Amino acid sequence: MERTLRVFRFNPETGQEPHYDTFTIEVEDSWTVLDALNEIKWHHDGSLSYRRSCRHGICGSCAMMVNGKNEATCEKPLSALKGTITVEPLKSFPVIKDLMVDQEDFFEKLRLVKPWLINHKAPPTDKERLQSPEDRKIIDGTWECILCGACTSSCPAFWDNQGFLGPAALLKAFRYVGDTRDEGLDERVGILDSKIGVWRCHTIFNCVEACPKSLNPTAAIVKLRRRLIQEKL
Amino acid sequence: MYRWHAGYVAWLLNRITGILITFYLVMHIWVIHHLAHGPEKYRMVMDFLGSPIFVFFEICIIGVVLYHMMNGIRIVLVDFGNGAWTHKTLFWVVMAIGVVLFVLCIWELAGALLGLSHAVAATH
Repeated sequence: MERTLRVFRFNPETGQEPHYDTFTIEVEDSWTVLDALNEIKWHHDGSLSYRRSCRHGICGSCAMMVNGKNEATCEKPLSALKGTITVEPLKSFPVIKDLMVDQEDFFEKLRLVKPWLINHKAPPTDKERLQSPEDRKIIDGTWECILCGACTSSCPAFWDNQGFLGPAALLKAFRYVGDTRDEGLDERVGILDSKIGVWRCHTIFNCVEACPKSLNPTAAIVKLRRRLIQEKL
Repeated sequence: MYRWHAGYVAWLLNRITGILITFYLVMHIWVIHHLAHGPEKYRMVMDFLGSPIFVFFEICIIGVVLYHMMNGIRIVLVDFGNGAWTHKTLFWVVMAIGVVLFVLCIWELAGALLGLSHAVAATH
């Protein structure tokens, strides 16, 4: 079966304007968009650049815009897409080359919310820091984030102010603030309650539309807001 | 622009209606300030605003305020309720309530305008 892909191309070293190249390739029924990009790179145009790694929807490397929607391309079957498939880099991140974007700032924002468990008590020596199944449920829908950047890339509040932490970093912040074993809110409140923190979200829900893992970063942001208000009261 | 969906449309319309309401408030203050120039001046302005085009604008501003109000309630439910998970359904629910309120307002307005025109006719 043949499929046609229209792929965004940009190489800053050549000075050529960004443009689209069209490839018509032979594909198999079971292929994903990433499989098709691999086919192009390996057999048609070796200069095509994109980021990929695990091929199992875990690493978050291969997020791109497919027919105008952010997707983890390794999990998007070609069979779910009709006609010519347009593949573009994630919006609002600087393009390094072709479909590869610069996510340095994205990960810097993540580091600002301290995405690790903060607990100054000594851990038990005979077991892990356990929590009840009920407490564990609080952070469901946050730990599944694969940090692909699809949500932050689609966020109008981030487009307007690139200083904004963005939905991915805030979702990850709630992963730890909402963890009953964590004691680090005091260390995170400065950044979460700042001008680039939770209050900049306008509840537009683009992040929810964009998440390839069907997570709800807005819900996490809302919970962070409530927690900050509770702390102030 | 990312993609069209209820959340994005709700936010976009909230911005637009917010700007229109601000513009209306400025106009409203401008109209009211004519009171300071005496009853004749005020009556002149009010007669001008009684023209059909301004009645149409008045109906529009009812819709604009109702939208902003109903979406505001939706946002409160998102922030303080469970609305972050049900925001699309919430959007259609508040819009449906908004339409009912709009029809009721128009009904009242039409009654008031008809009553007014009868009163004006009686004075002639």
